[in-house]
Amino acid sequence: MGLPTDIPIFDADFLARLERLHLLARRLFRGTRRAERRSRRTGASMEFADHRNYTPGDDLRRIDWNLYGRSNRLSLKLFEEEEDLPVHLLLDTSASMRWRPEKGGRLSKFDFGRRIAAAVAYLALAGLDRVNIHFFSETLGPDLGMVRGKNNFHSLLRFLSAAPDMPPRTSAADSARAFVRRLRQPGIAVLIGDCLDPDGWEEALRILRHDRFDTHVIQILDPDEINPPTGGDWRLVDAETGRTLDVTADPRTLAGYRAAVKSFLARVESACRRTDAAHVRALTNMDFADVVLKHLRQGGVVK
Amino acid sequence: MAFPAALWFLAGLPVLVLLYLLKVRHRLRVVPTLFLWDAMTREDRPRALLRRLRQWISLLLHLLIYTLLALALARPAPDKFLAGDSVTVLVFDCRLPMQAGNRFELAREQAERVVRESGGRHRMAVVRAGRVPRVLGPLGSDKRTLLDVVHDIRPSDEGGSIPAAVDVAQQMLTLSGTHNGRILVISGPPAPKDSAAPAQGVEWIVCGDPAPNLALTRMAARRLPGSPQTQEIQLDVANFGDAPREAALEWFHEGSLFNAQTVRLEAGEIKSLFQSASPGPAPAQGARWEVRLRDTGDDLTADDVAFAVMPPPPHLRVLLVSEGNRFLESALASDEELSFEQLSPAAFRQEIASGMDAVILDDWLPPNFDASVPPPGNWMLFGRTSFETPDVHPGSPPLDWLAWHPVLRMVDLDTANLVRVRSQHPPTGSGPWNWQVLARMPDTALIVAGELRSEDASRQRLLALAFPADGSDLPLRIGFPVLISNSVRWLAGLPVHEVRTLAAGDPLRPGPGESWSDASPTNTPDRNGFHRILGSGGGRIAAINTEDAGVSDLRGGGTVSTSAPSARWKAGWPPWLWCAVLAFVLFSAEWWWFHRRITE
Repeated sequence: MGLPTDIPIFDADFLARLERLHLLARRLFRGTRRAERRSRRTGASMEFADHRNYTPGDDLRRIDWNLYGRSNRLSLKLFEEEEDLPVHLLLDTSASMRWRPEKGGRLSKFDFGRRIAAAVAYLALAGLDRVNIHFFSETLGPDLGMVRGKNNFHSLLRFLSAAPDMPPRTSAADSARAFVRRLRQPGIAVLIGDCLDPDGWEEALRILRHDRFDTHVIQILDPDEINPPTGGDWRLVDAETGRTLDVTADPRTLAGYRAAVKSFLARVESACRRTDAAHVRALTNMDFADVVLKHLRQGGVVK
Repeated sequence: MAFPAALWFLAGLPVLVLLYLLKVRHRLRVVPTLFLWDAMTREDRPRALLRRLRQWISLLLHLLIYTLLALALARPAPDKFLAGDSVTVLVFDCRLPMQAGNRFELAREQAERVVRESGGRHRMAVVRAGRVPRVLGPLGSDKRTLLDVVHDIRPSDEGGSIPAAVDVAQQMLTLSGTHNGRILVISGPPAPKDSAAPAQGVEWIVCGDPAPNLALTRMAARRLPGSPQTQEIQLDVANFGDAPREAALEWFHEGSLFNAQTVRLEAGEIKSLFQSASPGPAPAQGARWEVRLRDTGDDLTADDVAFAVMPPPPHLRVLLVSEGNRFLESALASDEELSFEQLSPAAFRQEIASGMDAVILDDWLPPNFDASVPPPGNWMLFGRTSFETPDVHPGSPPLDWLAWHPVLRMVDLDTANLVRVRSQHPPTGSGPWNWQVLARMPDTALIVAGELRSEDASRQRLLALAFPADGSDLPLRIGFPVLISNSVRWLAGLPVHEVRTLAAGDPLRPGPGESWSDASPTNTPDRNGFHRILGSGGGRIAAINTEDAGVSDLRGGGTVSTSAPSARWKAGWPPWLWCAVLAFVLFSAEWWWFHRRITE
């Protein structure tokens, strides 16, 4: 069955394995509808939460008569309330994400990120969470709007495949500001991008943390970005700015580049640690199922 | 500069620069972001200048490599040759062992290389090392001439020693007056150790490899004393190898095979073989004997053959006029090539003397015999010579004597005791006779030789000895029969010692009326074999052999070492090789720095 999307449809087996996963929230949020996720409220689920003293007007069915027999005091049994959770997927659409190497035949980082976004969205929808997808680059772009239930997965895919043209540059901080201004209810924010912002992603993560978002960062990189394939005399062109730089990629220069990449990656990880954000790094040459089913779990994004 | 035309390649340098300027310097490559590269270049700022110069350094290296290759092709001269007046004497080994394998060709290539690479102001001479060292032209700097000299050098079968040639080279250096001279020996292995080098400043280029060799090192023929019709040939066969060898030996007489045998020699063994034969009357030029080794498989084949000549026995008739002298009779009888008759002085008549090759008068003279104008015949006078005076000279050893004269060859007069010597004085003035004093005592001539040469080529000779045969102790010495034999042959006009066997490289001295059939200006046969000497009666044949067993030993072990010469040779790399090596090193460095594919 053809769908109006360029994102490969996951097979049934993969979807079944996705349904066994849950998006991990490190804090409890208040939802709007009953669902499968614990919330701060006490409610009607089967999970015992606490006792409180009886006050007139309380539902007599919730009095713990056994406790009354032992203590001669009326107490009410409280149960946890399971609610849905707002999950926001923020996908970087800058030019650096759309760049793909000249050789290798790999997916671009953007396409790889779209597939991850689709997978994470599916497992959130399967958990009856509300999911929204936002595109961002220099600023926040259009969003899908909150959807709930697996029957909205196809509309989500259509939205992902119809990614709009956005400014080529990246400004994660400006996009985060716009994002928190647009929303009133905190939730889980899953940032999917390459983190290649000269100003860094730390400010964006700080803003999200300040507004009580539980943040996950899925950093996607191409192997050629970590290890440039060949040496030689190059005029490098920045995909986002169009700026050029003449470089002679001799062994010493390449070693310096690799050191700069290593430092950059360490900075990203450090920023995530400081802002209590989970961090997962994926390369576009990795097996996609491994990334979703293994690396996201190891990184604390899903469980 | 051996090939200056190669410098035309330098005209390609501008093309190289042009190509470099046209070269696409940078390939475009889109990257996700530059800020990581910016971070790297910030940290690498000290190398920014070097990076900017990188392109030009590469061009410079390419220009340098190109120039070095052009120089290498041009074969420049070594600097040490260009500085001041310098002289090289090239000692070129032309001896027999250089014919082994390709030694000679290698040696000639090396010599030509040395000549080509010498500087323009460098003087050079070539000394040919053989049995007798020979200088092949004076010191000069004309390369064309020197190359012609080297080109004209031919291998020879000669023996000889390298140190003798080095001595000659040393003398040339001394005479040249230079302080910057060297002797370069081009020879085959083994080369001497440093300590064995004949002089300082001697460098060696060793061509070829050591090899085993089977050789005929000596051959001689003689008549058996008791049976003059039987000839005996002695042959020495040597195995200069480290393993036993076996080879077929073939004996030829006058070019016809008359015997064949197999000879087996242990490692290092020299075996003497004897072969007797009665081949019948020998030709007038001499009987030719030849021995060949077959199937030796040696690198050196020139010493697998040896030659000998057996001259026909002379028939000299001698008349001894004596009352009886056992010494003279015994001396004449001991020479089997003489037949002599004896007469008493009373029975002597002049007609008998004219039919003899020599007449010996023992302390007696015929009436009216004037030695200064003797009657026809060849005369040997003992005691009374007609030149004598009544004085009797006190006995004493001769003051001086001509040891080289054919009459006195192998005769020692220094220790002779002469007790009854008469004073005699040969005629003086210009007459038809040439007189020569062969031995002299104070105030008197002891032995006088005279020769008359007439226009019709007839010859008459006379020997006058101022002492009787029994007036000294000479007859008791081994030299006396030799003196008699020499004298008779000289009087008869025969060579005293007819040279029939020569060593290759020995100068050939033809006798009167003889010439060598070979047109060599030096009269020096340098190849083994039979050589014809033209002369009266069909001439004669001489056998040439190497006659130097040492040169047939091609092994390199033992007391010799080639390490020192090779070390010198490495130290003396020619400039073109340095240029080529430097170009290769620069090329490798340039590739490593600029074009190496990054695989790490």
